[in-house]
Parts: sequence; C-alpha cells; structure tokens
Amino acid sequence: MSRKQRKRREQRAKRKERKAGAREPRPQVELAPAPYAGRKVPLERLDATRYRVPRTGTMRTHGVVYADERILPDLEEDRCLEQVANVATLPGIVGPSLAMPDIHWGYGFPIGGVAAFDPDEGVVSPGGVGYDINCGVRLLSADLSAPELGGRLDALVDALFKAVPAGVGSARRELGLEPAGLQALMRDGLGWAVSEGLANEADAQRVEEGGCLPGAEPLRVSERALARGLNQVGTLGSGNHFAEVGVVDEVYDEQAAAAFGLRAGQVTLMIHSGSRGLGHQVCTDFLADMLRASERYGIPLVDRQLCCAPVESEPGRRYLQAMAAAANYAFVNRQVMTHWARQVFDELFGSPLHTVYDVCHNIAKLETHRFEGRERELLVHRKGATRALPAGHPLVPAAYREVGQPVIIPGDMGRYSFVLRGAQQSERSFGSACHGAGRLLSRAAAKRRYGGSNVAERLRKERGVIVRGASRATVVEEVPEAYKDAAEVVGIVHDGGLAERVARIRPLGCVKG
Amino acid sequence: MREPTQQCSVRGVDVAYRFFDHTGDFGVELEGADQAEVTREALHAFTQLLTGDLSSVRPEAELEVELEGSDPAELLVALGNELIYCFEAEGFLAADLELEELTSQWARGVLVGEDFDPQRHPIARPVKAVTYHQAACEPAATGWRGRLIFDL
Repeated sequence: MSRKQRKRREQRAKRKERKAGAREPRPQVELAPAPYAGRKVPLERLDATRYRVPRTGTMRTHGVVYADERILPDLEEDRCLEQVANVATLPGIVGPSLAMPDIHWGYGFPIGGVAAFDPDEGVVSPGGVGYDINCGVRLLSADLSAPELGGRLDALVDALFKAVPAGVGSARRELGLEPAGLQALMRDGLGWAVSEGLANEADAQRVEEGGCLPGAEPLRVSERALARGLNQVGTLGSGNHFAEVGVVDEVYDEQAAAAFGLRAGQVTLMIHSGSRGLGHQVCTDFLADMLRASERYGIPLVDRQLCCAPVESEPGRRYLQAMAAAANYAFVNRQVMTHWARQVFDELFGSPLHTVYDVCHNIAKLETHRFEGRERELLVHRKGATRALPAGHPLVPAAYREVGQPVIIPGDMGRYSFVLRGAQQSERSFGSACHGAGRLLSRAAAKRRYGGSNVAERLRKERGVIVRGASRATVVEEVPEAYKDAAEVVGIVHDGGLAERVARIRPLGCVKG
Repeated sequence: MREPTQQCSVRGVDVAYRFFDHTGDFGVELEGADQAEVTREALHAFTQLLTGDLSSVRPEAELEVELEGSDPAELLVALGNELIYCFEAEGFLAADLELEELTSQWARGVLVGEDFDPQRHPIARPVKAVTYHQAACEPAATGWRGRLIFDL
C-alpha cells in the first residue's frame, strides 16, 4: 500500500470513529489579561545582581531577575520580562518567578526562566520545560594538550562532522534501533547505553540524575513521537546545537578544576543537543492535552503556552512520565554522540574522552530545596537554566561533592565557554544558574547583518576556529555577535553567588547542525 | 524589525504573509479574506520558511488531514504541527491545502505536495514546532488576520 493510500485509510478509520462518537463543541480558551500587558515592566533593584518585578494584577508572587546594569538594556529589547510576570500567575508557585541573566523571549516561560511549584497545590506546565525536553550539554575532557593536536585540527573537526550526524535528516543507521529498543532506552536512559556498550559506568556517574529520570513511562509517548525519534538517536539536530572542540585557556579555581579533571591547555569536547523530534512531539502532544486540562481545572491562562495541570492530577502525572521518557532519550542521544566522538579521538590521537558532566537545560524535576528555613519538596521547572548544586549536596556526584556540581555554560563559537561549580547562594534560585550566553540578535537580525559575509572563513582567519555546518544559514544565524558576552552573564551568576567560575574554555573547532 | 511581505503565487492564487523576528526564532503574520485563506497562508508561510522556496515544492501527491482545536488559532497551530510531522516522519512537503470542511474548531482537507528531495529542497530553516504563544486567527477590520511563532 502506498503511503497516500495508507494515510487515507488511517484517516478514514479515524473519521469513522469520530462520527461514531460525534464531535462535541469545545469551549474556547479565554485568555486572562496578562499582568503587564502593553505596559513597560518596572524593575526594582534588590542588590548588585538582582532586580524585582513587582507583583501586580493576577500575579501570585513577584519576579526576580538576575541582571546588572550592563545587560539590563538588552532585557528591555524584547518581551521576556512580561513573561517573568506571566509565570508568576500560575497556581502553587513557591517563591518568586525567577530569571537567569541569559534571559530572553521564549514562549510562555522566558528562556532562562526558573519556577518552583508545590507538588500538592501547584502545577506542571510543558511550556515551563520547553519543546526540546532535556536539551542539555555534556563536557568531555581529552588526555591531550592543544599542542598535541599538531596540524590535525581540521582533520579532527572534519572527522567529527562526519561521525556526528548534524542537520535535517542526517543519521547513522548502524545503531539499528528497533521500537522495542527505543522503549527500553526511554525507560532506562544511560543504563540502556551501558548495557549496549555505548557508555561506561563512569559516564553514568557524571550525568545529572545518573542519566535516568525516575518515573519514565514510554507508553505515554505517542506513536508520532516514536516515529520522529526512532532514527534520531545520536544526532545533533539543528539550530543552536553543536559539538565543539575547545581548549581550557584559563583556570580560576585550581582545586575545583582538578576535581573535574580539567587543567590549563587541555583539549575538551562539548556537545549541546536534546531530545530531537521525539521531545518536540511529546511537548506538542501534551500542550494540546494541557490546554484542555487548564480549562477542566479552572486554571486561568494569560498565555496559552503556559497551559498546565495540577502536579498530582492525571494529566499532570501523564506529562511527567512522558517528559521523563523524553529526557532519558536526550541523555542517551548525547551519550551516543559521545561514543562516536570517542572513536574519532581514539583513531586520530589515541586519546580517551572522559565525561566531566552532563546537565539538563530544559526540565521539570521534583527536588528538595531549602525555602524559608525548611526543606521542601518542589517541582522545579528550568526552561533554559542549569541545575547548580553546591558542595556537600547529596545529589552531587561523590567525586565532585567537596567542590560542588559542575555547571557548564556554553558561550558562542568564537569567544569562550565556562565551567563553574554550584555555590551556596543557589538556594535562592532553587539550585539553578544560567545555561548559556543568551541571544542578543534575533536570527533574522543576524542574517541581515552577517548574511553577506563568510562567517566560517572569518572565524578561521580572525580567531583560528574551524567551523563545519550542515547549513550555511545556521552558521550565519549562530555568529558569535548574535550572542551576549558569556563572560558578562557568567559574571552575574558568579557575583550573585549562584555558581563560581572554575575554568574558561576557548573554542578551536565547531560542528554546527 | 519586520521583513517585507512575501508575495508569491501558488497554483494561481496570490498569497501574503510577513515574517517577524522572535529572539531565537521566527514568527509570521498572515492575512486573508477569511479563515480559510489565513489557514492556507499559514501553510505557505511554513513551507517557505522551511525550504526557503515554496515554489520548489510540486503538487504531485496528496495527504488527507484532519485538525482539531478550540478555536481558529489552535487550528493554525495544529496545522503547523501536522506539517512538521508529515515532513519529519513521513518525508512529505506540502505546497498547498485544499480545505473540504472548516469550522472554528475543526478542519478537514487535503495537503498537496510531494516527497522531500534533498537535492531540490535544501532546508533553509528546520522548523521544530509551532507554538501557541501569541497564536491568533481572527476577523480584522478587513478580512482575517493570523499570527504564529515557530520554534527553530
């Protein structure tokens, strides 16, 4: 049967079913007025790195934005501050609606948004996690110093570009994943990768949540999501995703760097990707589900993308189970790319690659945090934010517990990225810090400004960075100047006591999706 | 800053849409005489954004489509997400939509397009999702207007 016939048959069956059940009109989603709709959001300075968004209208709490005077004008360029206020309208929010200094305009939640909810009275929102569930970053260290790359940096970047599928539709077929394997992968996360010989035990110990979110239920993942995800395991994707070879060019904290296995001059590899089409489809499916749930539970929405359901409700539980399955897929996705990158480093240099750490950027997790003097279990949403647990926290891997959890902050492909360690004041942000530099220019603006130039050639000439991209348009849109200076963003996180600088990494070569 | 309105002809019908900046992504504003035209324009804008050249997609095959939403804006979002699925999971690119039935909460019709051919359809901007954020499809002073923001 041709695809056309098959599709038509499916549709016919669906229509028949629908007719049997008769279509019932659905109540329209009535949006409530947003707290600062059409108004400039006022900011009240709390201290050198924090500003308050005052509570108004239907806000249940105030907002807190980590920023300083230098980046403040950038925040007022788009509507991200309104979004901080909008998140504060959601039921059961605990503490302020938070934004990290890399905040920018997202959908529903701002990118860089953090919000914690009471599990009994609060909600879970797919928009508070984002489409790319467990988009995250893994940092690996090589037993190599930059000079040992010799004249083979081009060869290394070319080999990585070949080994790690990037861009639309590219995949390596040898993984041969069957639907049953995909189910196991989503259930067991890194455990699946270890059993398949794609990861070692040390990897699993150095991944957030051990590379497997508890409560994952693959049966909650739709057929559509499975179809999108089956052939995308071990692929980079597109947009701002990358695999980047770098060198540690400055160490700020020798003790923590040593604990992380990092030293000046060392070659690193950073992989930024997520749950690909599978995660996007899970989010899409559950947004539709949550729109109905919001209505059913009488939750007023100021933005449809903030649709949500009580954490303990059936739709809330279903989403968390599917989200965990997609998050585990993302852990494995980065692991499989690690496996292929290891083959490249071994073949070219005989060097292993050690996992330093792997963190989620887009996630909702039940975590215990100290709030107003007592320990509370909270559902923490991080939408473009990194967990940043301090020294001594039981969830920090044993090897790092004395110094704190590694916090990996990718910058842009021309300047630098940073490694930090979670610090004590991260209690104020429910154990969170920023996740990147944050965009300064929209994609269209970057194209207008840099579309006529050869960005890859300029990076090679001016900064010695080799760039290989599946799409020239993506390389232009990801030009370093499209991002804020990561050093400024990291400086705010450092000064605000959320995480402390450990090392800086300078890019040498970058594979873009 | 807005990019100029895109004008093109698909199967003899002029369409109009205007992309606008969203920090990490793109949005599109749509215009049409009625809901049906705005819905079709959403498809044209999607394929234009994805391929960079809507006219490169030939009307050689058809796929039936059914969409649901609580209002016309949700239907637009549902259409966008259907197009993403058709492209990513089925390798189908749509150039047009022939609507057979359209209400404020339900749409049924046929996607007209062809199989994705990487040689003829270089992907300009992979669209990963269509968001509900600021999604709109409603009557305006003249005709109807719509708006969508795409996650790239």
